[in-house]
Amino acid sequence: MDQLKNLKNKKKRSYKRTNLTRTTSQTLTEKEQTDKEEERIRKELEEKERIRKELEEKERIRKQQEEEEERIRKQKEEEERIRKQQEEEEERIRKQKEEEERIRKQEEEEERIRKQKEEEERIRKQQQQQEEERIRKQKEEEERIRKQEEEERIRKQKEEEERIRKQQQQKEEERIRKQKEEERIRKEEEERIRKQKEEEERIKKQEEERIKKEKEEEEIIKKQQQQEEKMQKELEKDEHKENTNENDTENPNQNVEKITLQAPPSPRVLPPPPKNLPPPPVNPKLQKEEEKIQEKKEKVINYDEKPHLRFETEEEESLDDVYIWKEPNDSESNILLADKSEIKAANLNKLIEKLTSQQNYGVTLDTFLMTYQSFTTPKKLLTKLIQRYHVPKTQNENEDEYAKRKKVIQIKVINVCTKWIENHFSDFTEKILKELHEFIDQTLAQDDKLIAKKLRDTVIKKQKGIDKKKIIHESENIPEPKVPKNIFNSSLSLLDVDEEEIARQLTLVEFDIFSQIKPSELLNQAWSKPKLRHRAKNVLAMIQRFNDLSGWVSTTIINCDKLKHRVRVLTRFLKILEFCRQLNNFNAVMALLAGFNSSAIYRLKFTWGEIPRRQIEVFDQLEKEMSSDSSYKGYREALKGVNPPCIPYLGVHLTDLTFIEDGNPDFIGNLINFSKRLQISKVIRNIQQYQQKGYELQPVHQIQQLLIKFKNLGETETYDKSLKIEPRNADIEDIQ
Amino acid sequence: MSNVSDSLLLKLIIIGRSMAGKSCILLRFCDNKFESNLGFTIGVDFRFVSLNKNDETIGLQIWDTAGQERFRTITSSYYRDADGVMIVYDITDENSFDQVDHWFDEISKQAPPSVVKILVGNKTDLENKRKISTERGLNAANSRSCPFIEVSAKSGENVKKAFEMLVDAWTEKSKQHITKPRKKKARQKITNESFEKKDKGNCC
Repeated sequence: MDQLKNLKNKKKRSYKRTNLTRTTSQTLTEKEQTDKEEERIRKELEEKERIRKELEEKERIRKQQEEEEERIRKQKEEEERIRKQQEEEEERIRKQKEEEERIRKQEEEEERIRKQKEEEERIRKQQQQQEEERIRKQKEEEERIRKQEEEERIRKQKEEEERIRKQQQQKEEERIRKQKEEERIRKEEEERIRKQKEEEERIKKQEEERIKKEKEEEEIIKKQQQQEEKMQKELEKDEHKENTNENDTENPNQNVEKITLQAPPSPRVLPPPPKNLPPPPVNPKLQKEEEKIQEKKEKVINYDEKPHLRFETEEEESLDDVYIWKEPNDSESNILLADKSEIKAANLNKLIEKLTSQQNYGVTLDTFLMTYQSFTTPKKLLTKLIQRYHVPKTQNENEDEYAKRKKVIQIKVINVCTKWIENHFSDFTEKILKELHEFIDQTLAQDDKLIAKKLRDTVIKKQKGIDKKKIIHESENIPEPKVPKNIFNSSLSLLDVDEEEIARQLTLVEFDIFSQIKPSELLNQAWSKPKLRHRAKNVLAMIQRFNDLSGWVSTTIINCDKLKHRVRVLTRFLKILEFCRQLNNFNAVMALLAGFNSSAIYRLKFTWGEIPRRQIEVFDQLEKEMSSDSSYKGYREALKGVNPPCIPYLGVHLTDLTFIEDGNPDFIGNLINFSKRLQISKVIRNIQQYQQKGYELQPVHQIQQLLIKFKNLGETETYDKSLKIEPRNADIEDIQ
Repeated sequence: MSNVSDSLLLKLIIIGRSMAGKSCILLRFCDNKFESNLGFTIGVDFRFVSLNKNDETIGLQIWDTAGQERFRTITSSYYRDADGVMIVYDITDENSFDQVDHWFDEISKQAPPSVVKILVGNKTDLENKRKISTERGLNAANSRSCPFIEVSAKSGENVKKAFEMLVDAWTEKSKQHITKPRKKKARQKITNESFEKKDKGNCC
């Protein structure tokens, strides 16, 4: 605009100038010039106008552009707004969706929880049912056992009654037989007497006849020879003398006595009943008592006469067996003493004699009862003890001395029986128990009813007392078992269970077997000998358990294909190992170590390499403790220092027994090597002492089930797998 | 090698089926009291015997797990550090001979490669009950290239000789592997012999 003004001003000025110049000579030219100038100016103006317009146009365009931009901006703003709105909308929708999702999830969760609860409820019910079922079964079983026992008892009672009845019957028969016998004898006697009388009668008659005849003769002679009177008188005197003599010798009374005395010598025959008296109407009870007393008297007599036949049945009667009271006095042929009070070797009679005599020979009852089955049988022992009970009287002692001596020996015998029943009741088979009862009822009860009852009670207590052990478990300081949440789930695996709890349950399972090992299982290397193996049931079960356990370790580790997994499992096992040691379960410790040391596991270098240092230290330490160095010195010391409960590693003790058994003869000459038994009993007692105290832990059935049934691979299979997962000469990169 | 023998102590282990007479062989060798008529005490200590060989005294530490055959305890830890293994079978018991192969396998798996072996047939005193001929025993030993001998723990026949043969075999083998370390090494790490070999850059 300014430019335009300038231009107009300039034009005005030019006009003035033009006017000034018109006066000059060159007016036309000037005019032309002016025109030209005007033209030029006009053009210029036009130009300017054009430029202006152009500028205006530009300005317009610019404005238009600006407007356009403004519009676009606004549009953009609008769009932005819309977008924001949309976004908000979306956000809202999203939130809504989220909310919905949340609600859905919540519902799902609720549903899940509900289901879970249902499941749990179901499981609980199932469990409860199972439990009830189990209890029911148990009850049934108990009922059954009770019934069985009852039946057994009734059966036994019946048997006993039957036996007693039979016995009574026998006795009755015997009595009747005797009576009959007596009757017979009496009748015979009577017959004889009758005959004698008859004979007497006959003789008398004959005599009378004779006398009559004689008298007749006399008469005749008198009549015939009255004249020879003097001669006849003398003759008559002589005749009379002869007759009296004859009558003396044939005294009937005397004759009967003699015959009675000469009756066949039968110890069982009662004294003859008073002559000519019918048998008295006897009270049967009294009669029985009398008979018993009679029998007892006879027994004592019999022993002196027929010793070894009394108690021995045909089957066990051996030629070299000597009745215990016929055993000669101590000599080198029947006893060897290590020193005054210790028996080195002896025969069975002497051992039992010393065991039941006043003096103490250091034949500890314990040792004897623990080991006797290595040289004799329970049956024989009972027989010998009963023999020993019947003490015979010796010639050079009076009644008092005899009674005193007898009492001491009998009490000792009863003591042996009591200890035997109490500590080794499993030795008593039904047959032997029957024999024992016979002895109690028939012999002991006669001598001392109280002692008989006591002994009988001991047996009954033992028969009933099998379940006693289980009750002890209900102690108060039992730690709460560490049970996983899915304990009732059928998919429960040992990976779910805490290591300590595994160790506890393992220990309970093993102690159960260990506590049942009987001394007789450890005699004569029974566990190694095919023929005696049936005797070592629990020792073999223990060994089986050991091997299963070590197989379980190697199988479980080898079944992990990934290194990471193997490391985790091995670490877990090392923790179980540590807990087993804390529980003094040396058997499991050794078994686990054997598993770790098996060729398949020991060679897994990469797995071992990743195990935490602490666990390796525990492992090394326990391996050192359980090593076979110096004949398991470490283990022996650890065992000594242990506070029971404890489960020893049986292997070491079996090796000890093997060396004692193989290194020492069973017999010295033909005498039982008792010092060998003494050594063996030491080993057995060492094991036994740990059987007494059980673990105060709560058994968890579900976990124990997992620990009983292992599915182990064979050793070769395990080793092959080991080579596969960590091949020889492999690098860590090759291992997964 | 002579200076090695001065303090030479070898760890020998006896393996075989139960009742093959392992403990009897050991008792006979250590105490020479087998079947003695006097009740004597057999301790439970580990067996240690000195053997004189060409004016050298060799200490033998003998290990026996008799009675534990049924336990799977005879593992690497038992074989570890063993110098010699005596495999015993009973010439009157086919089963005990059948197990010989199993024992050889075990040794190759578990024992160090340096170990020497001997196969011993026991109970020659029961010749009339013999089930395994000397030839069969010899063949089994030859196929594993190890020495073989028949003994009687009861009479004592060849018992000492069996141990001497085992020591001889060891001496022979150690001469071939001169650099073999004879010091008892404590187990440094959980590695078995094959790895040890590799880790140490192959010593033998």
